[in-house]
Amino acid sequence: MAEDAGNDLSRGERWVARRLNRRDFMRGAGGAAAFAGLVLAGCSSNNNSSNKNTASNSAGSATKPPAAASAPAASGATSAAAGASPAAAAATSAPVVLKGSKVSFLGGTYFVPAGEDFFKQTLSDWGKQNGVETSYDATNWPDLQPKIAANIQSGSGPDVMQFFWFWPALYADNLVDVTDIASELEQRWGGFTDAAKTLAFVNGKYMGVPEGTATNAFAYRISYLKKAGFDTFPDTWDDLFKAGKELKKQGKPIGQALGHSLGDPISFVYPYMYSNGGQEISTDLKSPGFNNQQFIDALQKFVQAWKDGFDETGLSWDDSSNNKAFLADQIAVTNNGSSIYLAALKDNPDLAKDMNHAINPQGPTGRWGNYGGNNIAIMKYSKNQAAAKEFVKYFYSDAVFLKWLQAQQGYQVAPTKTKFLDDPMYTSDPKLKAYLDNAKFGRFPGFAAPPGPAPARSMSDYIIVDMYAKAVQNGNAKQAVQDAADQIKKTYSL
Amino acid sequence: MATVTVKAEPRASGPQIVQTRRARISSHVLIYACLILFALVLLFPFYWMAIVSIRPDKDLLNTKLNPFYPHHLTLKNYTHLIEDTQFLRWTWNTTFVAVCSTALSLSASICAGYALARLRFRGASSMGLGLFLAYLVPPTLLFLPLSQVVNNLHLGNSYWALILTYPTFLIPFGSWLLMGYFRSIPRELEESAMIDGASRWQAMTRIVLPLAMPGILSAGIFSFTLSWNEFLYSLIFMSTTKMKTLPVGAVSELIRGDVFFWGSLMAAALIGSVPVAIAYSFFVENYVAGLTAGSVKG
Repeated sequence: MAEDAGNDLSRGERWVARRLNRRDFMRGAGGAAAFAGLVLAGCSSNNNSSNKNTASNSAGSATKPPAAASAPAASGATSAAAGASPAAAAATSAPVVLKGSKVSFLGGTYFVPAGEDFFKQTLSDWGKQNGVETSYDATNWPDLQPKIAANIQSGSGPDVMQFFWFWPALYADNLVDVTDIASELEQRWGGFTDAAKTLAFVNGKYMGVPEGTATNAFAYRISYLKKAGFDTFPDTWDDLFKAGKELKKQGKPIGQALGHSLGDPISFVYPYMYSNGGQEISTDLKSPGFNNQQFIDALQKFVQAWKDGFDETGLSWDDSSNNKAFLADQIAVTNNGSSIYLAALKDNPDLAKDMNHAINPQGPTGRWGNYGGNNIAIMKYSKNQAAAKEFVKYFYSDAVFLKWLQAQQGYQVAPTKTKFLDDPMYTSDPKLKAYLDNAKFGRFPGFAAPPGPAPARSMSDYIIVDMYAKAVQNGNAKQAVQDAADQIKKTYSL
Repeated sequence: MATVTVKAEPRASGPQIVQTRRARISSHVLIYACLILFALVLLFPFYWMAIVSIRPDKDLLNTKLNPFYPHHLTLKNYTHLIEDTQFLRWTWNTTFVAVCSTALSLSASICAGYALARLRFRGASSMGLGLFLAYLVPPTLLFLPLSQVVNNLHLGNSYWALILTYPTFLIPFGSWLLMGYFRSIPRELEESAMIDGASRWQAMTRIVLPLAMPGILSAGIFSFTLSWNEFLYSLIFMSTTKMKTLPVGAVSELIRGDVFFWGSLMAAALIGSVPVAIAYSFFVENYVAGLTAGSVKG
């Protein structure tokens, strides 16, 4: 019978009939139902937990001293205890119960460990004074983003984080609005620099509190440059390239990383582009902003200069390579943070004596530096938002923030227009003045696009850095610019 | 009558013996030259780690010195590593997590591998293929959903976060390896045991597993090495310095911005590679046997 029936079936139906009897079907369906049940249970538990999070978040953000709380530790008292300024104490005087809450922090490791130690101690002391359990975690900053993504995805993790570059805009939906803290600081400190504000201010709100930035400048060897005929550091890019030619003849070329790392390559390629008629996106945000003759000519000039005056192995360098090359006396000039100089002061004073720093040279369209500002942000998933805010207010009290800057020996430039900038940490060693001055010319990568996912993606895809590298390798600036412009169009959906 | 003539083997003449000996010697020389070259290439990274870890920073940057041997010796990098960082704690964390996750994964892999290789059930081959495909899913895709699971189970910043997530890549690999190994053991051995009254479990534990020991050791060593070196999950799921594993702790503490503490990094890498090297050296013969099992049909 079954055979006969089978004859009436199509080939596909016969296959199904052969493979699948009723018992198999029931078994399979049961398994599928169980699996679907598990998935749904997982989803609903997620929803429940996220609902719980939301509820507790809203409760957290509106935390008021509950009647049962027996030992309210007003943050104003905390600030006063730590010797903060009266302004800071006033700013942190909201009656918030902190005792019993937890604040955890995630940030990048510091080049100057004393700065990190100070921050860690500050968090710990503040916690002890207020009965708050605190924890601190730090990792090499390029490794922070996967952690942040996982924390956001899972809806748990550190309450407060140190952000770099565009991250406040990138993760804006997952951050607590900190306009109240930042606006008060703006008033107290006389405003933030444009670059610092732009990175933290998203859609009319502060999603991070500016922390300032470590800047880059040109570190150079005084003696080698003198021998090349330059008593002072060249003030224009053209003169720098001329100096490079002479320096390379001495066997001490300019060293510049053009590899895939987020510090030195970006600090060089963007300012050079900005100084020579280029920007990542046009001001009307409708097209790539560097696909023009002025910049193509400037890039072609750089290609020639690379051959004549740069260490050509720089194509494969990362952020640490130029430090090593400079300290090993292999190069005479490089664009870097003050880490080379600080290391030389410690281990090689003779070299430090022969070193100086200069602000970036200027080009036909001005003088520009790179600004990769840091911010302190509070995560929306945090159940301890009120306590986190109190800690952030405390950290930004004048006394604490200044001590934190001082602990870093001026490595971190304050995000302000004037406040703190006349402190001896910036002025006591005139050789470090260029780092302070370069911050004034700071512009972030991706200009003129506002901070957001597209410039962040462009930066992490190294589109502009690769444009320089391709131009150097192929010798054809026009083609490299065209290729990069095509990539930018895709990235920005133009 | 037929006469059988036995042709005597021609004796090798003097020059021929010399020629054979020369050929043998030259082949030996060639083999040893290749082996020495191979050993040098493989051992050079360890030699480099060792000499960088005992050279002072000043020497590392002095290009006038020959970089291939140390001119001045120092143990400063080791003392910095052990006294100024939580290196010993990270080593303990890594050991504990690697041993536990290996034990867990191996137990599951043995059961899964045996079931897929021996038990006749519908869909066995497609499940085997599924396991293999699961191994191909990269951790960079898995870490986001896994972070949600770890959070829902409240396992963040605990050893269990890693002990339970490492099997996501260890079990598929181990099962796949052991499945192939179990298939190479004649089914008749088990069947004989079962005819003699052994249960399926007894046949597996008393007959098959002892025979499969090289394969199990291979899977164990591989799992241990993968757990020992794992970076991403440890970076994501461990949030305090004292809970970090060796690869993450060393990178977090010894790379600060654009400054690499090369001496201490190399010291950490060198000490960190010792347990894996010991594990390999103890089981190397079984390990090689395990890897090549099933490559030739008996």
